[in-house]
Amino acid sequence: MPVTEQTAPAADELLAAAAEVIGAAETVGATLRLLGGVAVFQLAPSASRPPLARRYHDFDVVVPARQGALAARVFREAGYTEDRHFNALHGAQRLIFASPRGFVVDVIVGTFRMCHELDLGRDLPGSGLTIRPADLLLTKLQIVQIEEKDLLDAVALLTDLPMEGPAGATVSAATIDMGRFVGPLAGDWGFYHTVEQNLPKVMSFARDQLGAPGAQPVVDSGRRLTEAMQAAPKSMRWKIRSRAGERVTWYELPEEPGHSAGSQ
Amino acid sequence: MERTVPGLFARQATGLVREGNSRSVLIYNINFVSIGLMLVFALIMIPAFYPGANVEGTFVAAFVVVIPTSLIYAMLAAAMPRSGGDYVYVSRILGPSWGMMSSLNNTIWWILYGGVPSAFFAYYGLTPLLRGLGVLTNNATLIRYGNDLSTPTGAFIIGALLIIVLVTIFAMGLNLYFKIQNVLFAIAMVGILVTIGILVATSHTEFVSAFNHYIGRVTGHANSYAAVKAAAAKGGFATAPFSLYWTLIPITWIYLELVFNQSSAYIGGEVKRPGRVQLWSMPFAAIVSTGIAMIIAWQMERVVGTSFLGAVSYNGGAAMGFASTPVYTELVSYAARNVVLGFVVTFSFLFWSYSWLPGQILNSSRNLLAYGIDGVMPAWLGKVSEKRHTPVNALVVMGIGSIAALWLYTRPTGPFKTLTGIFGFILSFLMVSLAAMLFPYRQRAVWEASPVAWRWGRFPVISVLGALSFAACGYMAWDYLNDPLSGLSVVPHHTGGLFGHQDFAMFILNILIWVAGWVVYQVAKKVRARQGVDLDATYRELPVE
Repeated sequence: MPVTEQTAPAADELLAAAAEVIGAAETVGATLRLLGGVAVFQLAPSASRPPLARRYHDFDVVVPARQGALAARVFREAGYTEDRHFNALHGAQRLIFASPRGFVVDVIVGTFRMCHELDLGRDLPGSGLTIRPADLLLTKLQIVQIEEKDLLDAVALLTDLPMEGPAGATVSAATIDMGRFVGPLAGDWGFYHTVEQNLPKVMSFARDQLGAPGAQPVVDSGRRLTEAMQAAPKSMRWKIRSRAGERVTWYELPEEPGHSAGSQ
Repeated sequence: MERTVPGLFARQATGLVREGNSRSVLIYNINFVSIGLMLVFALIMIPAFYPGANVEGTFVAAFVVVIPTSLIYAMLAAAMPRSGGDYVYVSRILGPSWGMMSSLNNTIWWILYGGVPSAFFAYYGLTPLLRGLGVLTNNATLIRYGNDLSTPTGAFIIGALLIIVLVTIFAMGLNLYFKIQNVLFAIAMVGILVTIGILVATSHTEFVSAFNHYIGRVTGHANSYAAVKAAAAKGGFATAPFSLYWTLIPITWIYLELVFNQSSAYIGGEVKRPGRVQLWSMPFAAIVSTGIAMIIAWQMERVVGTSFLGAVSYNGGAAMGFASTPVYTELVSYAARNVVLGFVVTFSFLFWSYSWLPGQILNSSRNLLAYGIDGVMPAWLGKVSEKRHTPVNALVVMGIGSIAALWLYTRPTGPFKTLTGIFGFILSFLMVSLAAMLFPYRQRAVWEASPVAWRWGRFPVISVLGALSFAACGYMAWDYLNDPLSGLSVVPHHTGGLFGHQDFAMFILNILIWVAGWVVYQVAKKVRARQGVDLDATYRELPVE
């Protein structure tokens, strides 16, 4: 039966299921790490209470590029079913599984590709359940048509996780490494532009949800990130691309919701 | 149920970034048409073997017949944006056994036709390149090499190598192919522009003079142009006054290419924003291809002469000292009076000569993959390379089948002619047309939620176009059975053997291949039922992609 708002599993249940699969992957030498809303739930306590709490329908994980087949085996052995057509043709980039409980798992293989690209699988953390907080924040801020759920997640991260950086400074696991955050943006103008447009939206949303005092950490972090982005040395490719600006489309659009009507 | 994934169908979007942007999709469709091959056949076959035909009229008629089919594929691809083409549409609308019937029919003919463009690479690509350069530089060795490549052995070896190279590229990944495709397409289009430029700048008198200059060095005749016409007339070639019948019959040679403007339907899962891109790219590919071909055909008739085009083809190039008919690129290269321009025209044509083949490999291997995954054929067909996620087993099957077909096609007295299997494709197009007619009625919810839920008055547009397409395909089925050069006949002529005349045998083969998919499905259904799998049920659910 399809998962709906009413039947969506609790966040704890999704997290537990993710932890189980991540643990099983470790025993066979595969590294799976959570991203998306459930990863935010794991890292940011604010995401588990109003006004920043929300429902999650599924969880997403990322695996290094060469471990896709291993990850698929882990899911099958854990009782998940798969879209064999999709996984056969797209398994080099993406796998889709469904749990017996009814929720769906997206497995990103290597590079995260939505509006912009981020090679998450290149250096996943050696421990823990999630990808690095800076990467997680980037996956939220890279969305061109950013929605409320993504804004909630971004605000939760910026509320709870302190900034740390620049690159080269010692960074602890539960902080947002500014150097790591800025790195991909300094080489990709399009990605930079989307993020610089979204940060003010996040700050404004934080004020609406939390009030001015509650939003202050978010605003401070947002400003620090913006300054760091602006100050970072840009690649030649970035500079050349910036001249064309918005006259050339600077993002990809993932599949639009609702157009796959032929599937029902 | 292997394909039912609980919870998956609540998802309205996978968030997948698809690879095929509008430019790549349009190129994919135009490549599958192959403007160059369409011109080759129109100019070689129509003036020579269809007395009274008007070439431009044939192009217009072909476009009119093709466009309803193009539109219904476009609309179905927009409504059901998943790879597989008719395998998806017909199985969802008419039923899984009919979907398998339509799909396997196409798959088998794609495999068999894999032998055809690989032979064209020799006949119409490499031979004209070497021969043309040989003529322009007065190099008899190049002319001889060019002729040798068009022998059965030469064409088989070249074609087999091409199949192996392309299968290998696809085994390495689809991204690599798309990158190569766009570059080669650009080169092919440069050749088209240069061709048009040369023709526009050349008068008929100048062409005759150039032809006599270059070919005279090969044949020793001062007026080779007249000698070709005389030789053809001696052999029985004659022109005739305009005939509507003989203008309409050779639509077969243009339909052969033009109807495949809908090929992006088979990679629908890879197309970005399919609701828009699929809707316009297919008919646009048909319009662009027809328009460009008509311009070049018109100029070729003006510059070279329609009766000369007929004569040189009828004569098979013998009066020029050639082993095969020169194609239009060779004639244009003489008109250029310039080795560099001649090289550009004939070299760029290489990429039109085989441009069907990548799409055939892609479409058929993906269909075979789907059959293996769905359990209607052995599971090993559904295996992909763990490293690259390419359907290597299906690709190997496709490659071997195409090389075998290539061998058959290159036999001078073999039964497999260029037009033989298009009748078979039309049988599938008829099924898709029927599916389009019934789509709003048998899959109402899907149709209403799709971007093509349009009506003309109280009639769904797709149903009306489906009916037009059905009629058009019906006409073309009749046309192929009545074209004297199609290699098909519904009437057996008893000359011995199991079926008598081989044209009748080819007709029966078309029917048998068409029906085979239905039989395969029934057998698979019984086998899978014994394993506890309801094959019909797996087709009721269609994952998002």
